[in-house]
Amino acid sequence: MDKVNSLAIDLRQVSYRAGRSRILHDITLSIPHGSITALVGPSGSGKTTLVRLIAGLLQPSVGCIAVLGHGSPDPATASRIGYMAQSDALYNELSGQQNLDFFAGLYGLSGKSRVQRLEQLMQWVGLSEDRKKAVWTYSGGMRRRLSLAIALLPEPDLLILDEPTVGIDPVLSRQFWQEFEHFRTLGRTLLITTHVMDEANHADRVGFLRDGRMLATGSPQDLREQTGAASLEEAFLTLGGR
Amino acid sequence: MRILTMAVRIWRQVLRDRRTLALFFLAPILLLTVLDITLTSPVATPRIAVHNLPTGFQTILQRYADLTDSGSADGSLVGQTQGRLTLTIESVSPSVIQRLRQSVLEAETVYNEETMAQNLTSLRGRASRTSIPAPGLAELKLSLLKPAVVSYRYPGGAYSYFNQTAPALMALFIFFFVFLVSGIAFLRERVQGTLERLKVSPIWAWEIMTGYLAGFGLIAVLQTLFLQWYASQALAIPSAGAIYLVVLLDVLLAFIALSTGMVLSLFARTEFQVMQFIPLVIIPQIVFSGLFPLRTAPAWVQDVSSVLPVTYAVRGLRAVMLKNDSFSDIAPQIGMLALFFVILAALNIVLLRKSRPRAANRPAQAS
Repeated sequence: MDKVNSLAIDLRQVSYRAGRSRILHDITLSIPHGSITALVGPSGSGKTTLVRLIAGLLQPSVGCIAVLGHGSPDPATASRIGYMAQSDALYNELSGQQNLDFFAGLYGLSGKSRVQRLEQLMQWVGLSEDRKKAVWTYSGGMRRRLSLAIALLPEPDLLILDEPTVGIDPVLSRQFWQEFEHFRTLGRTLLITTHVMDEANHADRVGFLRDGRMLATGSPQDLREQTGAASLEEAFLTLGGR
Repeated sequence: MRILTMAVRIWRQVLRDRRTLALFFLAPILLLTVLDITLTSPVATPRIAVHNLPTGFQTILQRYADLTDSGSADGSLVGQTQGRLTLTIESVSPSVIQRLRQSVLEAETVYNEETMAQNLTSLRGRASRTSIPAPGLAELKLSLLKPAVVSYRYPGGAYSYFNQTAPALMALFIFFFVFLVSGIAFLRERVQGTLERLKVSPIWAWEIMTGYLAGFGLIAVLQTLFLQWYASQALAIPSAGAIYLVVLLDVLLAFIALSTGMVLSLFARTEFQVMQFIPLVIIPQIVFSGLFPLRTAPAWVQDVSSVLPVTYAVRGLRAVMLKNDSFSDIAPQIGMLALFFVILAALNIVLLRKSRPRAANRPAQAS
């Protein structure tokens, strides 16, 4: 049991099929607490499916998944996981504040602590001034920031982010990664998918995914040394990423 | 608590969307008013062109119809030999034709009665000159039937066609607007990814469902009260029955509309595809739910009608609003509506939970 509890995410020989096509083959992945793991791979490699399996939105065809020591989602685990999908998943006709307020209610925040948490998050994502505007008037970057704020709402132990930096400017992207590193120092675990190799360099561990198979996992340095490559990109290509 | 959070979010969404608000509150009023004007305007007095009518008949006919020349007439009445009349109909409107025939018939009856009374008087005059005792006029009339005394089992007296239709229209409005708005709201929830976000949050499927029910249930209550108020104040539609029964029926119907909208939105990918369900779901309910009389319709139509939830709502609303029926009178209708709702709600929860699969996943075996 100790081994399970010391891992934030534990995947054993997980495969996933949708109809006849195999999306993921035999994936084994262990992610310890307090680390940043980047899943890297081209689009269509199965990153999103893997992340959705871990978030509990899909069920594996074969294999076992344990997240924060639990195999099945219960309200106790659910409020310890923050999830941000590729789509912004916001209510467009509501204001930013109302979006955040709604999810705060779902996570059981109430009264003073709710007000404080909303204020803190709005400030952190830089939306304090625009918090009363309807979300449909927001720019792409503002929407992404609000979406991240919602994922962070429950102060999750595990934060699962699917392509958090797609479609945002480099300044905001850098700011995001600084925050991700800040969360790690608080002992939280992050799982981030990306197809930007530069970003993956900031991670503690990198998983290379291609055609639904995990080509390799390890620290960015290990992977470079293992393949004798100068960059992660090169390492990926050497390992069969083409 | 989470249920209330869901409901509050739905209210905020509706409040921030003026068009949806207008759809719920102004559109039904507009439709009711327009239909009131069309359905309650009286049928025009028929216009008849006449030729060669018996003496005195034309004067009587004038009480029931306008006499014109043949150009603008709805029909022409021509006297033939031996007291026979021919009526040639020009109009194509069933209601005008009915009024036309009725006018002629009534005029004929009055004419015949008057002629008979005259004949009788002259007969009596002749009889008094002989020794045979003649029957009196009053004596003759004793053997005839007196007109039936008409009374209504419900208060308020005779209803107009529009009065009779109004409860059905209200039921259809509630069903249509709640179906459309909730179907699209739930589709958006799925398409924009917020449903996924709900699923990873600590909310159960039944709480999502109940939140939606609470959210749209309150909207249906407000819509019902508003419509009832408008109908009684501005349109003078009488509502005989208890308002709480009307609200109860409407809320049940709204719950059914919501559950139907949610289930069907699963089979749609765009808002337009939700709209495509309207001819499938809404039109049969308009036609077969009792808005139009079905008593003489073929048996299969009556079978279809009996599996449509709106049918029971219309029956219940008519009974309450027009006849002041009590809860126990409409208990069968309420029971059927509740049954529809329970089945659809259960189906929704099953479908919602289906995509929440990790519950079936065993915890990883520790080694």
